[in-house]
Amino acid sequence: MDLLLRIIGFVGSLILTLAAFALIAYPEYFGAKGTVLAILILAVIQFIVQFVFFLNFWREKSPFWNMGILFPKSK
Amino acid sequence: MENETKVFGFWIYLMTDLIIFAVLFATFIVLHNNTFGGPSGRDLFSLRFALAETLLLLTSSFTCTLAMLDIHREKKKGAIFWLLVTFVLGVAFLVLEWIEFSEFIHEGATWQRSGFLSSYFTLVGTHGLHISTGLLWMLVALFRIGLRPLLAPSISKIFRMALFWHFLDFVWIFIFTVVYGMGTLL
Amino acid sequence: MNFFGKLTLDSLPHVWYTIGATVSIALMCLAAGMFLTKRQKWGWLWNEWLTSTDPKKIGTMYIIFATLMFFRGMIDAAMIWLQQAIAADSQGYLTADHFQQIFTSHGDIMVFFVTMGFFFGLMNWIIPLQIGARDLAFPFLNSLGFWLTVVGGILINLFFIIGGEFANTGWVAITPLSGLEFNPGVGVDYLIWSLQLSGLGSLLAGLNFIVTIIKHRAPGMTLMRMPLFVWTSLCGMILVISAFPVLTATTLLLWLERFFDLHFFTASFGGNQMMYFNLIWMWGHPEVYILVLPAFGMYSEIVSTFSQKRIFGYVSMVCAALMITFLSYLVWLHHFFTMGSGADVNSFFGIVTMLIAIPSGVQVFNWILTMHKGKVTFASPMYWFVGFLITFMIGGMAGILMASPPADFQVHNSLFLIAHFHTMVIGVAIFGAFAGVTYWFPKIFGFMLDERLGKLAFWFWFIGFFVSFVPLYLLGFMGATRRLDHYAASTHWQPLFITSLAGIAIIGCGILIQIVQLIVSIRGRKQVSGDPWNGRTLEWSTSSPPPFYNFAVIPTVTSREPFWDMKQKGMHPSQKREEIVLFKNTGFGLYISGFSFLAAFAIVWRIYWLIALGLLGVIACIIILSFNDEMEEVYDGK
Repeated sequence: MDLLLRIIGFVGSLILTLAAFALIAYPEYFGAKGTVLAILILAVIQFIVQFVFFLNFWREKSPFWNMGILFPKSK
Repeated sequence: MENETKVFGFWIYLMTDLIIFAVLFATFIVLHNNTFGGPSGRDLFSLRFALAETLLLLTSSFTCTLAMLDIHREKKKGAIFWLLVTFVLGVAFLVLEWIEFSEFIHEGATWQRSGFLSSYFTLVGTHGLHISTGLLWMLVALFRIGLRPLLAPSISKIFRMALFWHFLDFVWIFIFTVVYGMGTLL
Repeated sequence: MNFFGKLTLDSLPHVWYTIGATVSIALMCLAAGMFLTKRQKWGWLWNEWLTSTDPKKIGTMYIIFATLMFFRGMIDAAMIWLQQAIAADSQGYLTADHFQQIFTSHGDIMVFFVTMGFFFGLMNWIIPLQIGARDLAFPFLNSLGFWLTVVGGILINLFFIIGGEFANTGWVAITPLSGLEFNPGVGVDYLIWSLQLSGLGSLLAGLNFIVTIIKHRAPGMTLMRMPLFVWTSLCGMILVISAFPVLTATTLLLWLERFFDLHFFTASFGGNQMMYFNLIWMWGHPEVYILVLPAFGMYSEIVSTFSQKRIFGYVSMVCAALMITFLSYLVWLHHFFTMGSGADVNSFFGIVTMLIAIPSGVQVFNWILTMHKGKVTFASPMYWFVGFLITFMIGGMAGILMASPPADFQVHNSLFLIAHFHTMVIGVAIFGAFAGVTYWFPKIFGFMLDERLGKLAFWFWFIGFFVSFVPLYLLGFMGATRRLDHYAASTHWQPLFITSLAGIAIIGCGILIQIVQLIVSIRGRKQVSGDPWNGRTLEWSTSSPPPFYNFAVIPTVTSREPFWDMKQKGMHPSQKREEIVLFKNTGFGLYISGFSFLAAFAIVWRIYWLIALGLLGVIACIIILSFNDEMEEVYDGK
């Protein structure tokens, strides 16, 4: 299961990367400014994909998620 | 849990590193058209190089996750194998970047030539320096896995190394988008 | 390539002030060395202090360091005042370049080493005690951060001995004056690397305090039960970790430009000087709030204790601190309204700058309302508080005046600005440091500071401050700009400058009285209880000074004023000790800082082999340290 998540993340990032490069290589479709906006959006999406799938960020056991900063802290 | 505290602290450090990169990005964006008669991004950048570098780093980030999976399953041999693969991919990335830089310098597009080139080399170079540091850290981690039992302190330190490596790939996503993308288009 | 880089025999002292400073530094080191040798305390120094990771020890060292740097900064200030008082229609006793170096170092030392040193010192001591913890989250980083700051302090003074020139660019080293073309010497490099090292130290400290406050509070202490000193320190540290990386990156760019002849901020080749202004003030503005937020928290503690009343409006105080933190990111352009951004941009920043008055006002009213109907005792910390309140009002109003761009066009970079920000740093930060040190002195050292001398010192400081700075407000309106090394007598400014000089003489007397106070207090010291002021927060529940483990048993907290409640219920802190785990001493903070110092020195002087040696040393230390998994020691309950 863990392995599958990471493979999904890898393949997803690969697709997003290739898409971005394709857009850069052929800027005629969206125009210069449009392409830049599009690749920025792709970059943010890829960042989220990597963050979630590579670092497994929705797992309840993840310590970062469960900061509990507003509740009494026991050492 | 002590490990939790250290990871939290490491995240905060990563945020500060991100802010340093943000300043370098901002500098690049402000200066990227200040070519002072010299070559611009459009003249210099090769998308093939950038794509190759991106794919190498992305794959290394993936193999790093595979190494971490093996560490959690206490498979020392698997962990060492995947970390070595990650290391080799990281070195390949640096070699490509080195070649790219050498070609630019050879063509007269040196660091000193213009505001654009100063900001380009600084941003990408700083990233490259971070990658080198990450590779050194990876070597130390490899030693650790080889020499010591895989107990909590070791796993915690190796996990932070992996976080660092992923962080560098995140930054690279934005480098190829802003520098090689925006730098050639706008 | 020269083996010694740019170093030559010429770099050694050969002017009156470099010789004088070198001799003074040498004498001080000699005296310290002789004292330590005679009392055979070198081992004690190493084991008990230099390698310690105990935040109490590190805190004390920070305060001593800040005090030493304070004297250096005050000498700079006195030299500036003297020059300006006599330099009507004459060059005075300082050359223009020397004068510029003095005000540059005065600013950097006071901001980076004195104020932050005092605050980090007090925070190290008091925050763990107030949240019921034994140590910070990362004891090693605490030690490392301290030594990096010290090394930065050494670098900023090293030019006296080697190099003879410091930066003459003003404390934020504006380009292109600080660039290679106009300042090819070592002065600016000394400044840059001093700031880089101490900035790194501050960053590590900020990180440490945030994780400590978020993760290591005693059971039952929710965020909304934390003392206000902890809250404002948290906000200040959030500013540290978000603003200092900007300083690191910006000074890195400046250094790269100087070292490799690059073009970020140069006047040609595609550089952009306005970018430096934006970057440096994006750091610079949050920095000044870092200088005041911890002080605000200290004042809250002091007012509450000496009014024997809960702080009024705790929630609004927390909101005010958070609002100040948030707003401080949105105002940086007010440092350069006059530099052509246009009316629209200026208006935005002007309005947001004025908004900061609101949370500041909230705090002032809350302090006053805390005193209202309380049983107010005017011990010396309260003197500093009342002095702060009055001074803060005046300085704050001056700030609001300048927040309006049209008004600022008249007074930008005039002495009015100087008067405003000195009112803030002296009235808020320095008075706060004095108030905090006076308030917590018995906790830290186990005996009280002489109250009478403390109050006398306050009066000299307070009156001296106004005698010094009111003339500057007036001079600003009269058109006197900042950083003037001489001026025409026909301006009729000289009488005001002379009055100002009288003011610093009065302040000087105040400082002398503080020194006497310290000596008298040490001589006549009597051990005090853990609670000499009838305090309300947890630090007063320990002995004075506390045991090395702070608390025998980590308390469980049920309210905002846990110690006050304990006293009302007649409870005593448990004496039984549970198992205590503490961090061991380590010399690595020193070693890494030492190698960093070598590398930085080598960078300034372009001694390439030494740069490599320094960097390799740092890396080797870090790797060796990473293999040491046993840095903690267990003390069982005895």
